[in-house]
Amino acid sequence: MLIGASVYPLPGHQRVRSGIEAMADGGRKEDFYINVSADRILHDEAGVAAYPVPAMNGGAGQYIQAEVFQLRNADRQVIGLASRMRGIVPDSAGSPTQAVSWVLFIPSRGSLVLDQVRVMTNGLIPEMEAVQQGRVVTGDGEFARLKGQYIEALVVEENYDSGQQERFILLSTRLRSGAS
Amino acid sequence: MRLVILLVGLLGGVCAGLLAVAYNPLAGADIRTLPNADSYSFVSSEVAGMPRDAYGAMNLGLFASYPADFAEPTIKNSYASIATLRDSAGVPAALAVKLSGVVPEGNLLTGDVTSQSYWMVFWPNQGSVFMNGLENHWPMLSASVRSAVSGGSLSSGSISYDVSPRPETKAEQRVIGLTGIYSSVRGTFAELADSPDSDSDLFQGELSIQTK
Repeated sequence: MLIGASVYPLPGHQRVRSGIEAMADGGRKEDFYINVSADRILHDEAGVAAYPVPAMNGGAGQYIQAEVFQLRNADRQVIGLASRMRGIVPDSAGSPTQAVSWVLFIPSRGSLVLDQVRVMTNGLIPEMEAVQQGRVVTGDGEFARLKGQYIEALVVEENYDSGQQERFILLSTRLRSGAS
Repeated sequence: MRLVILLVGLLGGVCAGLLAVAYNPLAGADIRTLPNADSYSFVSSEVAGMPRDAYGAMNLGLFASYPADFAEPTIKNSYASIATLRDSAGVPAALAVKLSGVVPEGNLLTGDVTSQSYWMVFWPNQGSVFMNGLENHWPMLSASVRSAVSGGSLSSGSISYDVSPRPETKAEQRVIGLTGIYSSVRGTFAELADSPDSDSDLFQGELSIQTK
């Protein structure tokens, strides 16, 4: 009985090859992809007006948005889940900014937390630039004690099987041990 | 004769294993309270992934009466949810996303049936925090197997249990401030799961967040 209980096959996670590239400065680069049309699993958003909190200049009429996607590696294999939350928050001076926060969860490896803050002008969120940059805040598991930066971009690729164009969110991370 | 002995031994082993899960003395009670914490109740608006019941916890998805949400073997034992957090007056206070996945090194003998969980909580016009920690699903699993052993189904029934780990495990339940007025906070958190018998897909409970 004791042996049976100790060797019972509880669920685990399959792991696929990690696409980590070593960088010349001693850091590591790893790219993650999300298929914009196919990978969104969950989505919810709420008007800020539904929350009885003090309104901010430029925050009126805004929404907070929560999404969950499948996360893919550079070979476009599904390796995990990614959540993204967006909304208006104050900066250190109390002015409204748009915050975007990601959690990348790879069950067989651990997690990474990414965020970026975009300064609003005249109460408006600036147009999305082709490439966004942010910081890697923390991680756990295989990503524990790694910090750094990330780049977020929209990339369009031709799917040769379907002949259709596919759009991917690219999250390209540059990590170093304990770096800021 | 050999076959009969083999079958009797196998059935005996299965029964003994089930009794060990239901009444394992090595799995202690879960009590974790956080003084001076902000408490929220939550109910999911969206869920997907591994069932949060005994079928999921014991790798018995094949026997569940519902299909698996994730087919990919890299994420099929993972779970995602979006929920609104409400304050003690029942007023919406924050929107949150939770991701979780089983910890593969679990062991039924020691009552170690755990998940790693990750929360992102966003208070509109205020800021956001990230939280991560372990979840202990032993109380749910034990109640489910007790139900099955006593002739019922492999369902825990309506159960509320503390998913935050037992204090003696010294597991870290981290709160890390990300943006806005919470950008520099640190702290800890505890979660209570409230699983109604009527809907195993519903994700609801209470969350205590203690920051400084």
